[in-house]
Amino acid sequence: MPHARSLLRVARRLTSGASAAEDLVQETLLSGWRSFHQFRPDSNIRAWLFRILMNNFYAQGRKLRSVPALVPLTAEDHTFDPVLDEKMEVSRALNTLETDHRTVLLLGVVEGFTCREIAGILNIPVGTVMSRLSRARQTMRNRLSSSSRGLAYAARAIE
Amino acid sequence: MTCSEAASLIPLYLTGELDEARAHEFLRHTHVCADCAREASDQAAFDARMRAAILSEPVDPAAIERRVMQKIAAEKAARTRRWGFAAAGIAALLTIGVYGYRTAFRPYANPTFAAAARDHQLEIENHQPRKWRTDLVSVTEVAAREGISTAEITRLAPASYHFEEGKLCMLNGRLYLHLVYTDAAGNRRVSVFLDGRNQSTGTSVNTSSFGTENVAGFSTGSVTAMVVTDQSRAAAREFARYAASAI
Repeated sequence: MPHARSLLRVARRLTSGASAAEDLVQETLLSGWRSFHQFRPDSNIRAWLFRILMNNFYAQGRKLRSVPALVPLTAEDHTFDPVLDEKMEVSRALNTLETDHRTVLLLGVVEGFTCREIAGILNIPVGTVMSRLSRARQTMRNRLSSSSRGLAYAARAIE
Repeated sequence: MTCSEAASLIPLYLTGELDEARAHEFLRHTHVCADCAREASDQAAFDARMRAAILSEPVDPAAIERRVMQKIAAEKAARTRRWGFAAAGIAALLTIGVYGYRTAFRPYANPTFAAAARDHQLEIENHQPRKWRTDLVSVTEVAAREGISTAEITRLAPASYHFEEGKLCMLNGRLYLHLVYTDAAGNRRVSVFLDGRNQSTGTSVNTSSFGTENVAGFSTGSVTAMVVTDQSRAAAREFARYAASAI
């Protein structure tokens, strides 16, 4: 099923739990199937599906809009792994962003949508997308930077 | 371009959405402004870092896809059932519609039948005055001019009926010989309208009802005829069948 993986990746970062994310994606795909006659062949089906996802997400209100749970760790995650630490840090920093900023980063940076496409998906002006992207990047960089400094300090203390 | 303007354009620069002129202007600024160049470069590096981190997470939509396919199959089946019910409903509506149409608009379906029924009701049942010819000789003279033989007039009624009167009349723009037959008691009066110039083959009897009047029509090789009576439709058909075989 096309784009289900991308939809689920974003949904997991927007909702509070795995089952809420799965429900959201399931409803999105079903809505897409039911309203496929409204899809214009000359438009981008991936952006169209994400627009349905975001509409469903906002329609379901506050119950979905909470800080998402961290992606569960597997057994191998418990060993010291700098790559894994990096993933966890980015993941944690992303989860602390407010929803609007997290959304534009996920759509623009992770899923590769352009600012105009994001504006269409979220039904907001392009200028708003640009300013949210800039602020979201800045916040993430600040948090990752302070986190890295903390880690470096801790590493030096251990030595 | 100022540093503030350049900073605001970084998102569009990173997604490749700057048009050629603005991209050129942006790059010219970053050539001379090390801070803005570093900012653009840092943001691009952050994007790559974030993308790598998030895209490396395992995502398995298989369970969702399975559930969605099941739900789609169920909805398709329900839709087919609904179409089945709808088709049955449409068929029922069509049947009712056709029946209703035939009941309500039958006069328009065969205007000559309707005119004959109306004529019979006004002239025979309501006794509106008309110039009737009661002697058979006079009627057969008129009939001959219309291509109808005396034998056709005398033979067409069953034995229990006898000729009473006749005249020419106009039904729906055509000239007909209107003959009236009465049973022995004089209670049942039947109109027969004959057209000797409109001959067609086929002797099947068609019947229609118009209020209290029942009409049975047929054609033989020599005449086209309509039998009108306020008796039952079956009686009209029976009379017509007899007349068709006798003529």
